[in-house]
Amino acid sequence: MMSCDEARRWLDDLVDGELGEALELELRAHLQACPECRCEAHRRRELLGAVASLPREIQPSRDLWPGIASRLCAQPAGPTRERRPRWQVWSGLVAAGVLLVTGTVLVTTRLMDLRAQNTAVHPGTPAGIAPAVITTGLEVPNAELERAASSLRTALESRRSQLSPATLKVVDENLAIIDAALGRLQTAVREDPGNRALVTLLTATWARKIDLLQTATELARTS
Amino acid sequence: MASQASEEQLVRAAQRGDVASFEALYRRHAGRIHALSLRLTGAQAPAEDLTQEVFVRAWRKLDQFRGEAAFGTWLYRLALNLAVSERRSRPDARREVLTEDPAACEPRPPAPRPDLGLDLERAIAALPAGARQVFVLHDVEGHRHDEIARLAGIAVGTSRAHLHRARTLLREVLR
Repeated sequence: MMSCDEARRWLDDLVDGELGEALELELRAHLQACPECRCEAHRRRELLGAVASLPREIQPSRDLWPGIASRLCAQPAGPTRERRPRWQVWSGLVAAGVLLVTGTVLVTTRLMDLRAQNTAVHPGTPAGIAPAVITTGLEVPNAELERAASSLRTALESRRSQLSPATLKVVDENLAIIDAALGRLQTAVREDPGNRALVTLLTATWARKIDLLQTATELARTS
Repeated sequence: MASQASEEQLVRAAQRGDVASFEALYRRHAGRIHALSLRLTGAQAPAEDLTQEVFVRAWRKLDQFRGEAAFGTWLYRLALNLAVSERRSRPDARREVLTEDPAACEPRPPAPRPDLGLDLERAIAALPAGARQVFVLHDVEGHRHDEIARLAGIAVGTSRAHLHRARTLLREVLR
């Protein structure tokens, strides 16, 4: 038979419906036999009932808006204009640099797409490059690069809260751009596996993604 | 005019820097945020400071609000994190010792009914800080122990112990 001390210990779980079946049966048997513990359980339920009737809203005793407004006006020009720590400014510049690099990737990808289209009209493998070598050179490193990028992405996700919102926004935008470029390059390479320039560009784009992830993760770690 | 706009319109305008729209958002949500602040801090002055701080932070972070949840939910999470992190940063927060002796931390004797709600609010305010925080988050706000533990940086068992202590103390209010 459960003691009163044990029963009291489990009363909270009982009223919250979090007690296991066996324990609940044992506790209920105790409550049947013990008026004091039964009364205690009843009081707890009464308390929860009273809590449920508490208002969800309580207005402040005075108008807080003037104080808030004065602090908003002290911000130079609205929501996103906080004075940022120096490292955030620096990381913003790094991210901006990445954006430039990524832009170059996109332009180059587009150029290579056009070239691939031309190649499709006049099919052929660039002189001196064996398709088998290119395929091997493409699949193995890219699988490894993809794994490395995935691992870094996981590391970055676990540290996201340590980066400023502005930096995160730029990093996310750039990752999206790089991912889009990777998708197009992979499609282009699948269609023209003998195109060495495309393969090089694909590998370089993976490298840029890894570089961005490494930079962002390092920023998060040191912030 | 701002008070007639939809919440989404107000948020968008505030994100563009429109203070009047943000004031309308404040008017809509101040009661909910202040209720949480008041119950978590247990006193009017710090609750008002906290409520103000929540809205100032919300203004600064508005560009991060993407509308995935309701604005009120976003604001509530902001208030919750701010309130709990503020308490965690206080030097006395970790020195609070759990005691099994209710007499050592009995809440103020409640005034006689009929105003049970007011008595209960007073009794909640008089709880020891750790027990009050867990009680408010669990029983008033409906969070689970694992959420509270994660938020407050305590063990789940500690959260349960705080709740047990708070309920034991508060049941006296209903006598």
